[in-house]
Amino acid sequence: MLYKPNFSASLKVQALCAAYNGQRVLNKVTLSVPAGQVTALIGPNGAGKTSLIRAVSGTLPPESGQVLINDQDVTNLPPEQRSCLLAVAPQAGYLPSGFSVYQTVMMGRTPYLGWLGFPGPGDHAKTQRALELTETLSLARRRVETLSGGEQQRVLLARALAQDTPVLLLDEPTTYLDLHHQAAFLQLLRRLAQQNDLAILAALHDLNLASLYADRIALLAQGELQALGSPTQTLTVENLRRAYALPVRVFPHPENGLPLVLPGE
Amino acid sequence: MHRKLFQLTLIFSLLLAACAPAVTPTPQPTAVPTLAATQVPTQAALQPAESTLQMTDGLGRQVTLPGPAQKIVSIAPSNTEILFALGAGSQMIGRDTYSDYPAEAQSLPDIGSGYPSYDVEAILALQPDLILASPLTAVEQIQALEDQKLTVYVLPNPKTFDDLYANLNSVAQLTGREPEAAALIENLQTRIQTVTEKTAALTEKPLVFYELDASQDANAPWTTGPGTFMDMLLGMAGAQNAGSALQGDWAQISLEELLKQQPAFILLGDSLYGGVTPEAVAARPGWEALSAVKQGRVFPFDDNTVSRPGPRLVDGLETLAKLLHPDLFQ
Amino acid sequence: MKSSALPFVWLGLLLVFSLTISVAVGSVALPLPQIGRLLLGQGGDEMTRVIVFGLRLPHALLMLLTGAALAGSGAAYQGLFRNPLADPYLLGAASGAGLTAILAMSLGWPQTFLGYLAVPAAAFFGALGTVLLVYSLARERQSVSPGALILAGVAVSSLASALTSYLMLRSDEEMRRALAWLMGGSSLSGWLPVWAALPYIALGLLALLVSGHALNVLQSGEEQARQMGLNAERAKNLILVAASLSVAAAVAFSGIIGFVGLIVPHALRLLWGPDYRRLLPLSVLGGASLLLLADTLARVVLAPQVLPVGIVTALAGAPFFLWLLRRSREQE
Repeated sequence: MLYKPNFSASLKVQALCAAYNGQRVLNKVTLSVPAGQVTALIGPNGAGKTSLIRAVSGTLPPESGQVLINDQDVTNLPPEQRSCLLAVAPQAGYLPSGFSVYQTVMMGRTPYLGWLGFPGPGDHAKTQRALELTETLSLARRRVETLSGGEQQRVLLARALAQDTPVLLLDEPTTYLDLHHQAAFLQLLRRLAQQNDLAILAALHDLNLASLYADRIALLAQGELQALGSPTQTLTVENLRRAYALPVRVFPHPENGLPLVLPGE
Repeated sequence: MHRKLFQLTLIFSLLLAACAPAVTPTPQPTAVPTLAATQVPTQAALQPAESTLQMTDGLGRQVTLPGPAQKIVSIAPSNTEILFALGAGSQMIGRDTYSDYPAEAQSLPDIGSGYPSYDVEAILALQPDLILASPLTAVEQIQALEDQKLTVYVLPNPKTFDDLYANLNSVAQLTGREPEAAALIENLQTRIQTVTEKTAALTEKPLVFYELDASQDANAPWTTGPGTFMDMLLGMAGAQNAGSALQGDWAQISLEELLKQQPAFILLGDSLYGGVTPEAVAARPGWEALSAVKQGRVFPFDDNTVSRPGPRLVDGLETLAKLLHPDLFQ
Repeated sequence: MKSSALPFVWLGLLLVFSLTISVAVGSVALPLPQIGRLLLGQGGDEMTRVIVFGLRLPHALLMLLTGAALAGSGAAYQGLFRNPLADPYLLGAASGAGLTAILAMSLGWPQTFLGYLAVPAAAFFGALGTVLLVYSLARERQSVSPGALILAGVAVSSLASALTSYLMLRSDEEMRRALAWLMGGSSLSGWLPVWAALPYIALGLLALLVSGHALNVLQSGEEQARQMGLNAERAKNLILVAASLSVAAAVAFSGIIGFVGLIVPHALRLLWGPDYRRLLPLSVLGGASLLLLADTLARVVLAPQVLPVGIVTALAGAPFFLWLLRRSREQE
């Protein structure tokens, strides 16, 4: 079940500044998302996680700075070209109803479909594979509004995968999922990153899930990058207290030693 | 809703300044009838051989007929009334929906009204040789009829009685009823004179409020302004129009103004199509303070006799005169 | 999932049926075989020929084009604004057309140049001009949001309607023409309106028909559409222009006919789904049929009085919405 885009690439963000409604939301953010790994983006509400995803994907034009994919500057690329390099899986809840799962995932092929939007055999193959990878093939004929939150999130991931890009961004994909599905989804992400050499950046709000399932963590607070590195390096009492304005305690996981976070003195 | 709409637009048409020049028909008898001594003139006008009619209608268009029309479709109630008054009713083969006078007209085939369009198919099927129209009909609709190779003559809206007589003469020429027209005009002139002789001598002319429509807002009913035919008829009947100080042919007057002016009479032109009764008027809040209401001088009025530009205008004049000056006219 | 060709078959048959009925029915009783022979070029007397070829056929074709334009644009607007209750007059096309038509009537000079095409031409440009005005009012830098378009559309529509009413009161002389136009559109009959409206409606509908995929993608919202690689601005502009062109041409000759542009796409979506690649052509077929049937009814039910078609479509609209209301309650 190999699913390889034409090439693997890393995502680099350099000194990115962005503003929204006159307010600065990103302040000289610099980070990299290597291929083959899941990088979790964490931080308190309003830290700029969504803004960063929007700025990287082009929907929020940055004031200054660069977005590089494989060291190629894509900051001002038009949507038709950028969408071949970078795909975004939004939060479940934005799915337009009435379409089938298959049709929805097929829409991820838009950058390659042309104006009329009629798919060729290649498009069908990619859609099929995206459904297989996200284990949603059995749902293909169902209408999306009949699915559960977890199923919808996987469909959105499939749509992003169908877009066949080396870089994948996800905006808080586990918000509407129960624990079982959260774990399953993040495991899937990690598998996809490793087996298909994708560079994945996922905004997460749950610190412990980030610790367990991400290869690297980027901690964002007040529009600035506060820490970047492995879970052990980033999830420290100091970093977290400063970012969340809350005293925390960090315990090592009994088996793998990864940091687990609880609020408290 | 259609009826009231039609009533209002009839008022408009009557009060229209003639956009078109006054009609001056140019009769052209082209041949002298031979054997005149041995032929007895029949009811219908004697037809000279090769007598094409060429006339200019109310829109300034040249209309040509091979002879007096025998299969006429009238698409205005006033035209229907004129045709019948001239004895040309038997020359009609169709009429519009609102042509309800005289009663015989109602047995003619109905070909619809101008809103939104006539039943052109039905008109075609009747194969008329003339369609007598009025400014009631939109110019596009006239074009639509002519596109089907039908002959349309538009009778303009008269502003004065002389204009009306000119119209009667035009129709008479179109139908070969010149003698009847002459007699009718004389009759109308005599009756008008009978009224105006007496009313001209009046020193006191009562104030009359002629209500056209109060359904929208009873505090601002619609009435006729100055310079309209209706306004003129009121004057000829020895009255003053309460709306003469207003602007425009057709305007709203406020209840306050009426209370100030205290008209001697209130005539309900909306009684026919609007179903307004004197009792209903008395029940309107504020109207009970009008002296005309208190003294019971609120009368329903057949608006058709003062708004349709035909011979019944004189009927309307006489009715007005009798109503307003019962002592002068029994 | 239903066969994807079946709805087209149904609606195609419905269209053929509606067109046949429309040409077969009128105040003069013409048996269908006779009409058939006439259409094949065999015989028939002059009057029958005039009625069928000069009156019924062009009128039916005009209704077909108008219904197609209204329903097609309605579907496009519903997709563009992501609102299943949008209709083709949302951006003020109807009120703008009415205003300029009545202006043209009261001014008089347009007729000296364009003759009887003056009023329809004025209505056409009024419709387009109003949409353009609304668009520029709602525009912010390089983009325009659906919400802003709707607000601007409502504002401009109200203004245009108010001005129209005022004009009608002032110019007594043309009030009658104005009323006739507002009720039933241009009274021009025959083939001229068909040839005049055809290019705009055909062009507009063609552009819409190929924009189905873009509309599908836009259903996820513009942000996601851009992330999926759609040039959202170009798509919106194209769809707006195409829809407005069709609506303007339809309104110019047929006046303001409501509910077709709203009911047909909405109902078809409930039946056969929101895939705009199918919904658009189905709406075109359905709208043409609905208007043909409504128009036939309007000509026949009170003969010889002709009802304005808008009244028939409005009468059809009321039970439709009640049914929608009941359905939505049941689903809760």
